[in-house]
Amino acid sequence: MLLSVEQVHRSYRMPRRRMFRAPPVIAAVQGLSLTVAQGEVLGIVGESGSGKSTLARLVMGFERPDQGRVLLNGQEAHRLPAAARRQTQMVFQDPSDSLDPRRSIGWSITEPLLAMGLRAAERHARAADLLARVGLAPADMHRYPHEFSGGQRQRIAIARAISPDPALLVADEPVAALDVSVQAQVLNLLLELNLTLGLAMLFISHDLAVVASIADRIAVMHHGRIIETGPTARIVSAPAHPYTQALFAAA
Amino acid sequence: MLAMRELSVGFAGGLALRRATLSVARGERLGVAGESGSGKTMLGLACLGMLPEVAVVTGSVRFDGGELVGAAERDLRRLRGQRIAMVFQEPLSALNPLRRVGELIAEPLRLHRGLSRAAALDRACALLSEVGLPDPASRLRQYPHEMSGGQRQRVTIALALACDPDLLIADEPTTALDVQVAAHILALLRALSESRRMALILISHDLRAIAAVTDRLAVLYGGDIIEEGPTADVLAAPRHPYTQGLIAARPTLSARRDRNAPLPTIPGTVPALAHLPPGCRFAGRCPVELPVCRSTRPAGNPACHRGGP
Repeated sequence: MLLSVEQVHRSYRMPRRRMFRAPPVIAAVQGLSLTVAQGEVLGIVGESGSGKSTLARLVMGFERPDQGRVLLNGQEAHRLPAAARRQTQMVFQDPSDSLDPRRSIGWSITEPLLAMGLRAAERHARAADLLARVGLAPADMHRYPHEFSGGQRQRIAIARAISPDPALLVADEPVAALDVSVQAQVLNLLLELNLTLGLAMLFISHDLAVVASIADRIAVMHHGRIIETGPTARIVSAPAHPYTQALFAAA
Repeated sequence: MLAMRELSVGFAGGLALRRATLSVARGERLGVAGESGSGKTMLGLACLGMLPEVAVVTGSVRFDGGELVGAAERDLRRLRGQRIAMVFQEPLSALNPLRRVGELIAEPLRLHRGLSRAAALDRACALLSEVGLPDPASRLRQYPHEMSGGQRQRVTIALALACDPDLLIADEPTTALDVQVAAHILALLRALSESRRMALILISHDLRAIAAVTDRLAVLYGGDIIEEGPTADVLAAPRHPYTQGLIAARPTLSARRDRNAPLPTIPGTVPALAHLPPGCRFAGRCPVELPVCRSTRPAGNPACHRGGP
């Protein structure tokens, strides 16, 4: 299994409220288990505070679980050596935050390759290839982030994420900040990368319709737990858990 | 009650709003749909006489017969908060963090209505209960940070309602909220508009939100109102190619598609203000474009040289 999350708990200590009392603790993820196979798109749906982003951070190895294990190809995510960490890459909600405004986008999207020891000529060729792959022109590599629209910037962030050939992409609300007419373009790009590169995804969103359009399977999160999981068609046509039903009623 | 005629709002880069004509009757709920850069926020600000000073404004916005364009700040202040009120996207930035909720809502009542402190707080309590906050009396003593996002948005709505406005403008009021909370807030706005016979302008990029609340819908693109009509009709049978594309591009839950087939899209991106095409603003992205579209601004409803299907 490419990714398997086994009975993971993660809690955070909040700021102390009273001097002689223990600080309050928030359990962001409580006994969560899930798997993602090679080439599979798992959609995670949940409201703010449900623990979606904590899950993303655990999978990326930015955090270590308090209990349980997060395994990537059988190895613990937060202990992976640098070379294996490249296997997982992430795309965020706001692409402007993930691009250096003072670097050309050609530089930004091939920065991960610097660490892999690629030479300038190789990086140049790879930048052209990546831009074409995400629907931009190779000549765009000399331009800067502010010269692009929000949707184009998200394409650039995706190009950067796929540059070291990852096996798993963690996408945390990747279309939430985009205009409706551009959302579908970016979703199509992610679908195409999934189909052509076999790129597996953990696709996190609060928007059920967006998740349903891209995921093979959907897991619904609530208060740090997965309360329902199943193939997209089943979850959409016959949600079993009352909370999932309520989410659908509101959507 | 509100009548906008040929309103244009220009900036150094170009026109943010081009000859917009629109009206809202008493008790009517109008949806204004548009993406970023469509001019929808400028349209909302124009109804409050709150356009930025650098903007070049032509045309007219009349509220209850009085002209807002070029009106003196003193006169506008008398309208704002009293007869026209606004609810914004982010409730936290609309509420003073250092004041208790009760004082915040009491302030306009004391200022505009001359109520005593005690009477204003009584009224604030009634307003909080009207917007569906449980235990309103104890809420009065809370600070905004002690509440959740949905509760705060209810407070900003109570604040907007304080002086019984005739028109409420809500600019993306649910964008920052979770889906279930958003659904409650939208239902509340609709119910308040009905019970108070208050006109409502709901500005949103979200067609579902607009469908849930409004009777009439105006679709904005690149500063032009490109289509207008009863909300249900426009959404069921859109006539402008942009509206059609927008509705098709929105992922839906019902139709589970073939994963190998791409979702329908509108090609390209919304052009920047300075790069808007001179004729139809949608030219260059439109699937059924004619040569005339590039040069001449289409008139009519839908504003399309093809005249709709």
